[in-house]
Parts: sequence; structure tokens; C-alpha cells
Amino acid sequence: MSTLDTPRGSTAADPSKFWGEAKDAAALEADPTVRVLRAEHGAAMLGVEDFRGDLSVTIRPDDLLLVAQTLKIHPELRYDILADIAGLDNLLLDRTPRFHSVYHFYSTTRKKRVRVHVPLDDAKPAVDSLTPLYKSANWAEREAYDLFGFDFVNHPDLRRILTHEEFVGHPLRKDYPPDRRHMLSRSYSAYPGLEAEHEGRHTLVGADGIERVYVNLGPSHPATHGTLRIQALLDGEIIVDSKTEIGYLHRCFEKMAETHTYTQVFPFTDRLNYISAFNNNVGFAMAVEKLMQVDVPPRAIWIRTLLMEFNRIMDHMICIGTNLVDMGALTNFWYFFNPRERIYELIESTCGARLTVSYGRVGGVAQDIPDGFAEHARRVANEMPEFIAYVDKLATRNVIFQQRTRGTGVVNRENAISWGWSGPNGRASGLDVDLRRDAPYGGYDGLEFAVPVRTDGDTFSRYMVRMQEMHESLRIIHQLLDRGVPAGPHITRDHRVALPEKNRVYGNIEALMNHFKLIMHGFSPPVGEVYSYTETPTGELGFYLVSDGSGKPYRLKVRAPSFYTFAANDEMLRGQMVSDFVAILGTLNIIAGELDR
Amino acid sequence: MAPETPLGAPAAGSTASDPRREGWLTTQLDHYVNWGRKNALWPMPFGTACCAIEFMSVVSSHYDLSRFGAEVVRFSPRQSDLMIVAGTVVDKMGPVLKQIWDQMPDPKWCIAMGVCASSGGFYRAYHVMQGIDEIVPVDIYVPGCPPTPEGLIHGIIKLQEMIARGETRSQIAMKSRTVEEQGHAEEVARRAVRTLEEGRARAMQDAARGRPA
Amino acid sequence: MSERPPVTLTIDGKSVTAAAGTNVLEAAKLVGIRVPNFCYHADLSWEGSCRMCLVGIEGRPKLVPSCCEEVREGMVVHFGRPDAEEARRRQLEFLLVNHPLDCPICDQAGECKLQDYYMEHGGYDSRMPRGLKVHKRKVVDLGDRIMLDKERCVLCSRCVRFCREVSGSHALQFFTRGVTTEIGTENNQPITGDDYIGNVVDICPVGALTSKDFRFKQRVWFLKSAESVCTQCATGCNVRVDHKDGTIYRYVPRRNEAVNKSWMCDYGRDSYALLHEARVTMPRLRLDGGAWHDADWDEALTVVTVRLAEAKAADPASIAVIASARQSNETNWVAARFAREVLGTPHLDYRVDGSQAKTAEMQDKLLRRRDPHPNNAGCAALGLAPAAGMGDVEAILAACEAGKVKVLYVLGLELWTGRSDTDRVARALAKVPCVVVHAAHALPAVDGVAHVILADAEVHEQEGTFVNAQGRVQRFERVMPPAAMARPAAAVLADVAGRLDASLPAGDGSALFAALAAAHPSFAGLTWAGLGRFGAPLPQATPQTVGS
Repeated sequence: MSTLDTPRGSTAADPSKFWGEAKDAAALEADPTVRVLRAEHGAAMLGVEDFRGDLSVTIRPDDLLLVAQTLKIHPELRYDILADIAGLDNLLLDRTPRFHSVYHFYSTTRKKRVRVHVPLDDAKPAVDSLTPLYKSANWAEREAYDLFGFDFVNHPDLRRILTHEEFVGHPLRKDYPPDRRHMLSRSYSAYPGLEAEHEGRHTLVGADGIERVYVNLGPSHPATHGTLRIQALLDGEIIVDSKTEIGYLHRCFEKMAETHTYTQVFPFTDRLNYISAFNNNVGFAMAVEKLMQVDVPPRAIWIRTLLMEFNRIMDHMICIGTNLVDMGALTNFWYFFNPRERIYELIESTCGARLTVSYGRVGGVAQDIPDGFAEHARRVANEMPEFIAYVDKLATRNVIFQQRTRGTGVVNRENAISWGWSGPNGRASGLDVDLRRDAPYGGYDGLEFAVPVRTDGDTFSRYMVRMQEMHESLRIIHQLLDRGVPAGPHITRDHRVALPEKNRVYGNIEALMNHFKLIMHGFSPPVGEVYSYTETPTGELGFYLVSDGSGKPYRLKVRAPSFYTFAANDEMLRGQMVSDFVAILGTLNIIAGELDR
Repeated sequence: MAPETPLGAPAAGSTASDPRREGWLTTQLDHYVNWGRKNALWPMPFGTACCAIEFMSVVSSHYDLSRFGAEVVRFSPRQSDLMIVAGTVVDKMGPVLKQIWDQMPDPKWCIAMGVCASSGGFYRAYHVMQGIDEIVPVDIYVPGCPPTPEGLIHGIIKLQEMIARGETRSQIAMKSRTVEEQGHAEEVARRAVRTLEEGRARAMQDAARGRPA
Repeated sequence: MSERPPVTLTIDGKSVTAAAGTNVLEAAKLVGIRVPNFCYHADLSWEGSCRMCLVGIEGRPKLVPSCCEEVREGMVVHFGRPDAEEARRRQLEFLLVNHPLDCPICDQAGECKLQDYYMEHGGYDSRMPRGLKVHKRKVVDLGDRIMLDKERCVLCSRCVRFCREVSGSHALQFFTRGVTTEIGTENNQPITGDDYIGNVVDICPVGALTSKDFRFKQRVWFLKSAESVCTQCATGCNVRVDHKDGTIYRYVPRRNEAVNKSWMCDYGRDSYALLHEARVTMPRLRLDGGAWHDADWDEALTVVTVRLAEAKAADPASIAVIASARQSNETNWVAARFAREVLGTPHLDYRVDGSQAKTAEMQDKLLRRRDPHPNNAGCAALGLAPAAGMGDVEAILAACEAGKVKVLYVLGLELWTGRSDTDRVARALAKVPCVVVHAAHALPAVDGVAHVILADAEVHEQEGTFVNAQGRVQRFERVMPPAAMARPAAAVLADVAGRLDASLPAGDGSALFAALAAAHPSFAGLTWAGLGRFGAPLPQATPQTVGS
């Protein structure tokens, strides 16, 4: 059989594929979500769509609050998590009205998702705030206000969140030039009327006659690993109120993605959660694979899964290591940075980079693993338990550590769901969701691993979940290594997305043209929109990708787990001791690159 | 190795008879002080992003920055003399960076670690500062995204060499004694550094052509 | 052909109605199917040599080239049928058998049909062993404009047909037979005497024919494009302006069946370079016989306003305004209102060099006209010529010479560039105490007589409309912002009017056109959106086709 006989990416049905098949109209109407919404809010429904298995509903803006309430409480639906809110500017899409506010809901009980499009008026885009129903709407709506200029009616605190106070305009609108900057002339405070540099000098005497003092923590502070800033109002040692200010690392990821080809976006994804960069690569690649229906060869899936688990270990090590440093236990930091170097060496052998790897590609990985990779990986994996055990011995049953972490920073399950928590933080609060198990993607189906869940929701639980997850990751790694590296290519042969091998590029005109077009123009997925998600070490990393059929993403919204985790910060800190702040913050594992994008 | 001749760059208005400037004693003291400064750098890590993680690797046991006398990391600007800006600095962060730099006592140095701090990197974007030298003076630029730990260590060694020669902006500016001079200290320092760099470039060209220095 | 009723056929299950006489390939476009093709060109005869457009037609035993197949009633066409897809893929493989590995050094890369079709319809792995390719001559210099690479050619014969059917020069031909077949000129002589030969570069679907002017200046995927109109004669050929970072790199003709088909002349094609030459980037002043100095707009317009106000107060007839057939309808209309309503002077004319009489005359058989201005017809339609008995340009110059004109307000440079009697102009203008010129380019002759030079935006720096010799109103887009401090004349005139306590419409070209269409009977009923990409005839204009 000549190679001519296997043109293009085959679309043969494959049960391991994580995107769904197109539904016909009858099946779509029979979907519980559509059926219930049609029954309860028939007049509000403007359209229903199913693309790659993503259910998308368009509703009238006036009815959003009611529809969201049905989605949340209707016994057949129970969409209890508002996963993300994305703005969308249709300026270049020939679609009216100009703006859409796009909501992603997830049901933790039914494990189902739905996307809700709300068309907004061109001149004055305004819609009801969802904050009465979902706490996660708070920051998400502030972001849409900041970047798109949407007005969310009845939002308690609608102000800029990622850009700064003196910023002019809404940068993710399509008519905003990507590089138009507005300089900030001075620091400012999140409390209106309060000076930015108020630490220790500004006090507030309440009606009860008690003096309270403002303390500024960050954005450059030894305990805020990354660029976070919390302004706290203290009553003695107790935090009575705080305002969390983010955006100190807002690097315009989403705007950059709109101005680069799909392959060029990979280096930008590295720098979201830069501690486990490869997981972001895979998350983005999966979104594009879903959109273009690209099959990934088994070898690539094996490499991806293995490296993602190593990255998970590495990420948890950083989180726990720095968290313990902040509590005064520096030794653990050294214990965890040594094995990290071992993992770095493993990663370096695949792609030449330590931290920001850019190793993922649509349809596979950038290049094949070197000879002896599996043995190397096994060696590294075997070194890990020793170091984890050191820290376990030093910290877990340590009295001081327990006293500082037990019962502090408690988030109960209900709140975790409302804040849209996910990942280890959510699992520490009893939210038994792990996308690797619940919506298996890549190679995770068929692997045996436990999902540690604890119910206390305190700092100690989050520490314990991470410690246990490292062992589970090692279990996965050993299972993969025992199976052996699958033979075959490391990236799909689909000429639409994958570069041909170099010897062919230099040897025949077809491969040369293919290479040339992919490098210079990139590839053009079909028109459509998908939401793809992975379980990263920080939680559910989602990519909402809208394609207009051109070589660059029309819109790429990142559902950053850190963003939704950190949104709960002010509520968590209320009533805590200021000395516990450091321990609580460290255990949330907020990565500024992902938080601010 | 013979001790290098310390610089003692003449500032504007100084005279040859100024006792504080002539004679071998002052020169030797400079040399001695600079040797001390060079081997006791106290870094203030202004870590914002990915580069900060590599910075952690640099100070951790594997790469062990203390071998180069620069491991006493202090998060208080008032206790440090080397600001290592590791990561992207965005416009929102700009005033904070400037404030911290201003709080550091002289002599002080700044390393822009990575391309974001050096030039904005590949973020040509609406909220990203196109290099921290928009607001603070930089002594060493370390390329890389992020730089390898070896890269940062190389940058620190280069800075130490400059400090030993007394060639950094901060050291030259400190030598300006009079109020008037101090007003122009930055300018004088910049000019002196440029002269030095040109001289070195000439010497390298000469060496390349095989001429005696 | 047009008498025959339209026919309805089915293409890939979609029903489409097309005019009789069109081919299946064009009909497929109507349902959004882009059939790949190399040899077919809408403005050339049908050839059917490249076989890339093969489709299945029910009732026909073999696949059929859709470009040579006329639509018939009830025809059922299958474009996406597997055998048709396979045939096109194998045809592409044949075309690439001897194609050199040139993409990295080929100027066509990025707009090459071979590349596009490989990504869209190819996707196979090559079976051609190395070292077996038949090589032909590369870098054949075909004169001032064209460079030929014989290896890259896919022998579609578009250029051969162009030279035979359109330009008539018969310059390019096929030579030899079989695998060594190549295109070229007799003895590889340079091509001379064909003023339209630049078009073969545009129609060449691959990198065989490249433009000497454009090659290696810029990679095409970095270029941005805007739609405009050529300004070098009254035909108003539609062009696409390709530019990057404030520099225009080329004009490419844009197909407009009613005006220029797919062609443009080499003279117009080269004129993009003139746009950037010797630009006036800021207002300049020369007061009371002093030296020229740069000014800001406020200073310059204050001077202009004061002089105009003084002259108007003394005698409005001591002011003369000369409009320009190089400016848009909108600018000329604002200038006319400026002269008549704001200044109250009867001295207004645009017929600087008599070219308006030649608007309809062709210079060659194809496109070029003797009138070198893009908008003489528009000025005429706007009624800028003075009424009978009032002074025209000659009378204005005579009045200048007699010292009766106190302020002469000129749009454009044609008074100096379009006339042969430059001495007389200089003599006449020397008597005028204040000469204000809107100039986009510096000209020594103007420096000698003018007192205020206002930096004008070039045509690619503003949007507006021209009326070509056929009476067709055509839009041109703003390609880039004005150079430095230059401003469009219409905006400046409105500004000056404001300073004189009068009011003129202001805004961008589309807003001004809407005001113009509402106010002026010649343009009644036209809208900016309605003009579209291809323009629309003036309501009263008699339709008139291009010479060819």
C-alpha cells in the first residue's frame, strides 16, 4: 500500500479520544440540559449547538440569572461549578452583536459540562452578575470587565483586576493594538483613599474604639513567592479584612496567543504554570487536537503522560518545599530541590530545556525521546521516595508544623465548589474530582491510581493530599515504565499539523513545502470553538479556544486554576492570625504566571 | 597574579593635589574594599516569574551560589546590595521595582536575569515593560528564557570582576564627593563606564590584530 | 451568451444557478467550493492543461476538467468524490515531479499555489527518488521587469495566453517537447515593447515568473494589504496595496470586471514608489520674504486664516482657489464649499493643464488613458468649473499677473508639474502676496513662489472616492496613517473654515461621502457601503467600457 493511500488525518472512531462525536438534532434535543432548559426557559433559548461533543447554549442576556439558577439547582442538571467566564469580541467574525459573555459550567456529580453564550449589546455590554449564585463569578467577572469592558450589574466590587489603575481601554477587544502600553506612575492601594505605602502608618479606629492597622504584604515579599499582594487590616494579630490584588505578572498571554500561530503559542503556555510547564503544553495541544480532530500516536501519549506525572511531582515539591521554608523549615527545601534537579535532567534529555520546555506539539511531542530514556526515567523515579520520605519524617508528624497547619485556612466543601476550586486544593476540601479519573484523556484510562481526598479543608490537608499524590504519580510512572515505550512515531503523520522529518524536507519538494507552510503560515483549524481541560498540579487547566479558520487562534481563554483558587483568599484569611497567612498562602500553590497570565 | 590597578576614575572638578585621591594608599584601599564587596554580595531577589524558579535552583544545593560568596539572600532591600530581577516586570509592577531599588543603599548593583527583565522578551504586549532599564540602571544582562543556572552564575562572576575593578556605575557615582558632583553622579558614572568599555573594546581589537597592548 | 437563460445544476449535493456559458469551476465558487487550478484564469481563454480541476460528472465515464466544462441544466457534479480527490492529488504529484526544492529562496513562497494546494489537496508522501529531477535553466533575465526560472514552471500557459490574447506581444512561448518543454522568449531575449508584461508575474501561479522590482524585498506573509485605486490615469485600475511598517512594496491589480479586468499597466504598477518620494512632512512657512522654516499646524493655519480674513474683508474676489483632479471627490467638494460659501470668491477652477478634455481618450488599446489624473471626471461632476464668463485658471493666472489676487489657495502641485509654461506660472505667482499650497511632495518650483506649504496626506493616507473616465465612482481605502504631521486637505480646510467662524463638514472619507451624496445631485443615491469594492457608476453617467 503506498503512502498515498493514507491521506490526511484519519478520523477513525477511537474510544480513547477525548472529544465527542457530533450529535444529530434529535439527540441534541434529548440531552437533559437542553430538554430542561427548553422546558423551563424556552423563550430565553436563542440557539443550541454541539461541536466536538461540547454542548453550547445561547441565551437571552435578560434571562441569564434565572437560567444559571436552573442550571445550578435543577435536580437533573446540578451544574454546581461555574468553571470560567470568558469574554468574546466578535468584531472580526461577521457576527452580531459584537460581544459575547461565555460561561462554562461543570457538574461535579454528573461530570458534565455546558457552555452558555450570552450575546451583549454592542454599545453598552451589560449583563447580570452571577455572584449571587457562584462565588467564582466575582473575579471572573472583574476580569471580563477589565479586559473587555463588560458591565456586570450588581457585582459587589467591579474594578480592574489584571491591568493597573491608570490603564485606558479594554485590551482584549479586537480593536486594541497588542502593544499599546499605559505606564503606571505610582503604586496604589486597593482600599479607596488609602495610600499605597501605608504599612504600619495607617490605622483605623472603629466605632468600638479599637484601633486597627493596615499591613501591606507584597507584591515583593519574602512569603509571596511570585507577585501577589494582600492588603490586610489587622486587629492585633487577627486579620479582620483583606484585599487581594493581582495582576503584577499580567503578561497578556491571551492577547499574545491571538497574534501568534498555534505552534508559536506553545512557548507562551510554558510560562503559565512555569513550574510544570509541560502540562500546560499538553493542555493547549489537546485543545487544538480536539478542534482539528488530530489523532495522537500511542508513543506520544506515553511520553506525555510520563512527563506530566514527573512534572506533577516537581510542582508539588516546589509547593511543599517553599511552604515549609516560610514556616522556618529550610532543610526540606534543600531536600526537595535535589530530586528536582534529577527530574530537570530527565526533561533536559528530551528537549534541551530545564524549565520552559516547549516540548509539546499538536499531535504529539516536538522530538523523540533519546535512547535509554526509559532506564533514565526509572532511575529518577526510584530516587524520589527517599527524598519524599525525608520531608515526611521531618514535617508530617512534627508538632510545630501540625500546630501551625491544622485548622487554619479552612475551606469547606460547599465553599470550595462555589469558588470553583479544583485539583489538590479542592480534594483537600472533600471535592472528589480528578479529571484524570473522571474524564480520562491521553493515556490515563487503564492506569491504576488512587485519588487522595481529605475532608478537613485546612492547610494540613492540602499538604497531605500533595504528599500522597506524589506517591500516586510515582505509581503511574512505574506502570508506564513497566508497559514499556510503545513503538511508532512520536508525533502524528498528519501533514496538516506535524512537520515532516528533516531528511525528507531536504530531500523532496512535497515535504519542503509542507514544512514551509507550517512554519510560515501555521495551520488553520476549522471554524469552531472547543473547551478542553487537563488536570494539572494546580487543578483544572482549561483552554477555551475559538477559531475563525485562520492560522492564529481567534480567542484563547485560559481557565487558570490558580485564579479561582486565589479568589477565595480574602474569605479564607478573615479571622486568621497574620502569622498563619504565610502558611496558608504557601499551601494554595498560587503560580503567578498562571494566576495573572 | 599582580593586583589589578584599581580605577579611581577622576570625577569632574577634582584636582591632582586632592589628598583623598592621590598616592598608593587610597588606591590600595579601594582595591581592598572592592575585593570585600565582590566576595560578599547580598542578593535581593526580585523574583517575579519563571526565572525566579531557576534562581531558586541557583541558590539550592546543586548549584550552590555560596561558592561564589553571594548566597546571603535578603528580602529586605535595605540589607542587600545586589538586586537580581528574575522574571517579567509588568507595568503594574514598575513603581514597586523602582521603590525597592531606591531603598537599597549604595553601592548597589542590578542584574537583569532573563530576556524579560532585559528587554521584555517575547512579550511585546500592552502590559509588559520592555526591559527594566526603562526605570532602573542595569549592570549585567543575563540572556536566556530562563537563563540556565550556569548562565546566572556567569553573570554574577562578571559582575564581581567589574566590582573588583571598581567599574560599576554605583561605585563610580559614590566617588563623587561634592554636592555638585553628586548631582551629576549618574551622568559621570555613565560616561566613565562608556569610556572604559570603549577602551576595553579597543584593547581587544588590538589584541586581535596582534599588536602589543 | 447572455440571451440564454441561466441553468441550474448540482455540485456536491448543493443546488446552484449559474449564467449559461460559465464553466463548472466558476459555478462551484457560488456554493463556496474552491476548485484548485493552475491554468484557468477568469480573464483568459479556457485551456484545460493543468488537470488540477478534475471533477466527476454523472453520466460521464471519466473525470472532467471543470474549467473547460460549460454548465448545463440538470448537471450533477461531484467535487469531493474520492476518485476526484485522488486524481487531483496524483496530478499534483505529477506537477511536482521535477519541481526544484526552492521554497526558501523563491519569491513566490507564501503565495504559491503549489504550496497551498499541497496543504489543501495533497498531503501525500513523495515517491520521487533524489537525483532524478530534470533540470532546466534558472535565472533567465527577461528584461527590465521579469525574471524567469524555467524549472519552477508548471506549464499552465497563463503567461503565453496573456501575451497572445491581452497584451498582443506574443513575447512568451512554449519551446521544445516532452519533459524538456519550457516557456521562454525567442533565444531568451529580453522582453521589450510590452507595457503590460508585469501582469504575467501576477498570473503566474508558481515562482517561475517573478518581478525584478519586488523580488527579495519582502516576504509576502509579512505584508498587509489594502484596497485602493491606481492614480496614474483616468482609468482608475483597481489595485491591492501591499505594505509593511509604513512602506508600500507593490501594487497588484485587483480584479474588477467593469474597469480593468485583472490587469494594470506597468507605468501604474511602478507608481507606488512615487508615493514615498520627497514627502512634505510638516507645514512650512515663509513670512515676509524671509527663509522657509518648519511650523506647527496651529502657527501655519493662523497665518493662513489671517491672510484669508484680511483679503476677504477687502474683497472676496481677491482670493482664488485652485482645486485638484488628483484629490478625492470629498476633498474637492469641501474645497468648493470653502471657496464659495466660506470665502465667497467666484474664482474656483480645477482645469490646470487642459487634461480634462482628454479624459476619454485612450493612450493605448488596453487601459491607459491620455488624462493622467484620476479624478477629472469627478471634478467635472462636482461642477467645479466656473460659470460662463467667470475666470478659469488662465484668467486666475492673468489676474495674478495683474496683481489683483491677494491670496491664491492651491490644492496639489499640478499647476507646476502639469503645465509646460512654468515661466509664466512663476511670473504670475510672484505678484501674489500670499500663495498657500497643499503639497504632499516637495518641489523646488513651489518653494520659489509659495508662502505657506501645508503638508498634505497622500492618497494612500486617507480614504475617499475618485470618478474614473467611465463615470464610475470608486473607493480607495486608507492604507496607513499620514506621514509625520501631514494631514488630509479636507480636514485642514474644515479647520480653517472653523477659524473663519464658518463650518464645513469634517470626518473621514466615508462620512464626507455620505454628506456629499446627500448634498450633491450628481452623486445622489450613492452610499459608501453601496459603492462596495468595485465602485458604482454616477447616476447620470453614460456607461462606457474600457478600450479593450
